[in-house]
Amino acid sequence: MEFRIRRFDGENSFWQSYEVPTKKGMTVLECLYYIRDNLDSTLSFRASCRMGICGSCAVKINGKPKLACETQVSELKNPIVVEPLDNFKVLKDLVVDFEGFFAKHKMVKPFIVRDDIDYNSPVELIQTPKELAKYYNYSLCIKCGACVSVCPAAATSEDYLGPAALVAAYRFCADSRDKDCKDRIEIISSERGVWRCHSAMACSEVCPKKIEPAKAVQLLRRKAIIHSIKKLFRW
Amino acid sequence: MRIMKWFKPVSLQDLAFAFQRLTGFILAMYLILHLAFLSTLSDPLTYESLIAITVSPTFLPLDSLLVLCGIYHGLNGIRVIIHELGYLHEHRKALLVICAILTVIAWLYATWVMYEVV
Repeated sequence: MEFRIRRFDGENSFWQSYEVPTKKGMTVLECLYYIRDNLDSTLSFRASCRMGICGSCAVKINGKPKLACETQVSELKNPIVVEPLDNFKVLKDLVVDFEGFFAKHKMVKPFIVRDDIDYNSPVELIQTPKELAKYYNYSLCIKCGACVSVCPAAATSEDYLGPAALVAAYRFCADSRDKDCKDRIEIISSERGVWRCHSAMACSEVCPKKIEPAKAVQLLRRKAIIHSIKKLFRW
Repeated sequence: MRIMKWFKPVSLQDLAFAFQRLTGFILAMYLILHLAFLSTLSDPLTYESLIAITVSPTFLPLDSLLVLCGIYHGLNGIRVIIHELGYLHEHRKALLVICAILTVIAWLYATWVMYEVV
């Protein structure tokens, strides 16, 4: 099969084609490895786990962001067009800059906040299955960046936190073990937060883990409104 | 231009979003022109002559397209509001199809009424 890859050498962007012998069961990632190992050692791409867990290999395949390791070549039309993710700065070939992405993720405090943790005598934090169900789906995010790459709000505003960071914010705000969501709500209520979302719902369409980032953003909006009302009345 | 990325749909949801922006822009432009023109009118006769042009057979298809923009923008807006309230995200595709069907039905009916009246 023909692989048409959009490459970038640091200065110029250009297309390059490779002919890859494929067989049933082969993924796009395996083909990229084949190209790098046998045809062109200068081809750069990011990959790690090869089983849809790490989220490193997200690229645009035939126009849609997908995990290269989970995309079967047999399901695609010839030629297969592979491009780096949109809305990210391209560093080289298929490798994009995730620094801003993770900085935004860090900004929403993606961890449980409690003031009663004693590491000398740790206690189990009990949680019911119902409480777990409130956020479980959102905890499956692998930070691949596919949602951000199709987000129209992220395309026009570099400051926008983006669906992935907002999913992380909701995941911890909805966790019954978290005891201080106020800081997080302040951040997501700011001008770079949930109100930037245009509700295009493109993020939910492309998420490889089907975690509905668009829904998380809307549920966060509810929390932001409740927080604002409480703040207004100093409740 | 970054704004052009709004019009590079990869899914039906993106397409609906792009059309929402496009129809919104058309309706806003129409409203501005409409108000600007009306504010320059000084006598009823000029107004009557304008109305006569807008209901003429050559102008009516454009009116019909404008109605299509209005209906789509309104119905799709309601769909987006439902999602923004946090509901029916899992059924977004079905809701989009229902919205498209309702748009076409309402548009055909409105066009039929417009031609009937004329």
